[in-house]
Amino acid sequence: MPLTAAGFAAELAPLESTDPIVQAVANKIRAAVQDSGVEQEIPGLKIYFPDFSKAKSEATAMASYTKGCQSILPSIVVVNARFLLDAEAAIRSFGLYDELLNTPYLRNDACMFGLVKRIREDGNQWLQKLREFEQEKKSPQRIDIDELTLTILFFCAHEIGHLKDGVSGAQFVALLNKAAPFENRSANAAVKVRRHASEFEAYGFDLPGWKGAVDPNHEVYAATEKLRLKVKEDDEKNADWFKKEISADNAAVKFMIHYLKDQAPMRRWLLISGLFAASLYAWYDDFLTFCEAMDVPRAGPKPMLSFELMKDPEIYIRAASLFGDVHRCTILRSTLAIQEVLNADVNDGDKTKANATFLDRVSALWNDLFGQDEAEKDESNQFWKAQSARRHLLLAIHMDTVVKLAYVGASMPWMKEIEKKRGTPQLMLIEYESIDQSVNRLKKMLGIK
Amino acid sequence: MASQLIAESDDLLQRGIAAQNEYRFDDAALSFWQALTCIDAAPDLKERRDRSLQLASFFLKRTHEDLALLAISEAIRLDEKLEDHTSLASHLIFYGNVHMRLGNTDEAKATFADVIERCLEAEDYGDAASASTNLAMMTAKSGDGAAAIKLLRNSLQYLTKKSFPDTEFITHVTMIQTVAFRDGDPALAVESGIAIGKKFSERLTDDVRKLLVQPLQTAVEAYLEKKPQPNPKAWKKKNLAWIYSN
Repeated sequence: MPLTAAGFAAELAPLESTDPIVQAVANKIRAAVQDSGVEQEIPGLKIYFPDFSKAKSEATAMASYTKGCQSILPSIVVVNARFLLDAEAAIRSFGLYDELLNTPYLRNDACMFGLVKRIREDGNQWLQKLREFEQEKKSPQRIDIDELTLTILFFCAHEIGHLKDGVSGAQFVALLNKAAPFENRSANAAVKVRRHASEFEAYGFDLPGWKGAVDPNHEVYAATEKLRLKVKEDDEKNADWFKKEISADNAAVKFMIHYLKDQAPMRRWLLISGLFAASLYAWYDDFLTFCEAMDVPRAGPKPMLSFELMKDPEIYIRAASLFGDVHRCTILRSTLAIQEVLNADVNDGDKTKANATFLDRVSALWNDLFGQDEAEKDESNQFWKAQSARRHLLLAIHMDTVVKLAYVGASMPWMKEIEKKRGTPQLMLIEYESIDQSVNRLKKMLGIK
Repeated sequence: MASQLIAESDDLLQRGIAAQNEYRFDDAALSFWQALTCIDAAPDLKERRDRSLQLASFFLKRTHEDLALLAISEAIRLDEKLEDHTSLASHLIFYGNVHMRLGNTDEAKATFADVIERCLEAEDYGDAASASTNLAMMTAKSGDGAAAIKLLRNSLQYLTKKSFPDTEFITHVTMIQTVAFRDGDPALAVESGIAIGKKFSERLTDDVRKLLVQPLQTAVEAYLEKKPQPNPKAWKKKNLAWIYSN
């Protein structure tokens, strides 16, 4: 028999995390949600932060179990405390550096993987050291709890969006599961990545020369469409879920804009910083899982994708696992959320052309934001604003890999047809961008040597 | 037990170095981290503190600044427990320098300000001067020339109470640059130029000379305009031969 709200409460309340930071963040989030008045729409809304390691039975078998965050109708949001602690570790790690461009994790992909490994293998101790480090800082600056709170509040607002839409069991992220088999059905893979490619294109992330993948009148699109018909039922179900995820993301953004409306600008910069760290970390965490499971060199996406995918294009099918079935790409979601929160500050609207790339729009947005405050004297605010712009731009630039994976993956059925007709395999080398290349592009944009 | 832990830590460092040499930065980051945490159990606080300091320098050299920060913080925590105030000051300067290198301006400035206060109280003028000069560099960089020059003058004042040639040389170099870029009193740059010529000529490498000649010559011209000399050419040769030798 399915559990009632009281049943979930009985299951989750005893597991509530006793970690002091989780408790502090939980209290702040509950207060923010209460202040928002959302409980009028969702009476009896409860947010739990369970530590599933305390469960007496197998936690993953519990109805309320989630690796990240999830909504349970009619009025429950669950945030796995472990997920929150990992986000805290990522945020605090990036928080060691005020200047984004000095962050050692961005020196190359392997350095990002180094951070992921440390958090995976020794997360509690790493976190403990980082917490002690912040306690002993000499400057009065203590931003990490606020940054974490705003980031997790955004995730909770997403789940609240699901509850408003009457959606249960929806999770904030689809974390790649090492134990589960990767995608091996070419039709599902191509259809899935085409859905992502189409969304990327709609937001101005295109891939010159590969547009046929998302153009319904093109033969490349038609080849994938033929396969889609074979998995039509699954695809329609997934497409429907995809829409629900978009709706929940929109609700989360709306919530955050309303919440931050009358707050100090620094709060916006903290949200941007938190979303940046959490999403970049999540992407590299998934990527490391993928590389390890596929037994491919983990020096980073660049050599791995460029050469391994050239040697064996079948990996494109497995790589579709890097995109959740129903979730939008993590980096895209954070980039869009930041964009929307900032757009709310720019009242004179979008000045770029409708067909501008996403990066053009991001640049225009930041020009507007800096232009507005020419007379601003607050040095600290200016510094954090510039850092936020860098984080936002870097995320948008680093969309490179997912964009290429999606467009090329969505074109695979057409390439297969061509190979079959010709009788010889097509050799294809795509240049995927590593984090240091993205950082260099950012520096070039900013005129920094 | 302690020596066993240190041997284990050394072994992890070696593994980390091997990984880094093979560009396996992810494995290196993990081994180095383990090398740091495995000494947490060492019972001798002094030994643990010394090892933390050693690791901080090593991590910095190997560009693992996050671990360097954690290691030097551990050394500082242990200095406090050991009530070793002399080491504490120099370790705090190390900590501030890492933040300065990373561009963590607020933390670096707060650290140097804290060191100055502690050291003046303990009459440790050498470390007070080092911290004051470092703080001056950051203050000048953020545009407050007057405050930076005041800090540099304080450093030179502290150094009259305790000689610290390294710091004194850097302070004079910084003074010349700060006066030039932040519109300071040219007399201060001239004084520093004369002091460098008298006391630190062996440190005047071509690079340092190149760095200082133009700002110092500008300061000299402005100085001589305010305080004309009967024979400016002779005055320059006599006092600042190291920039007017040709």
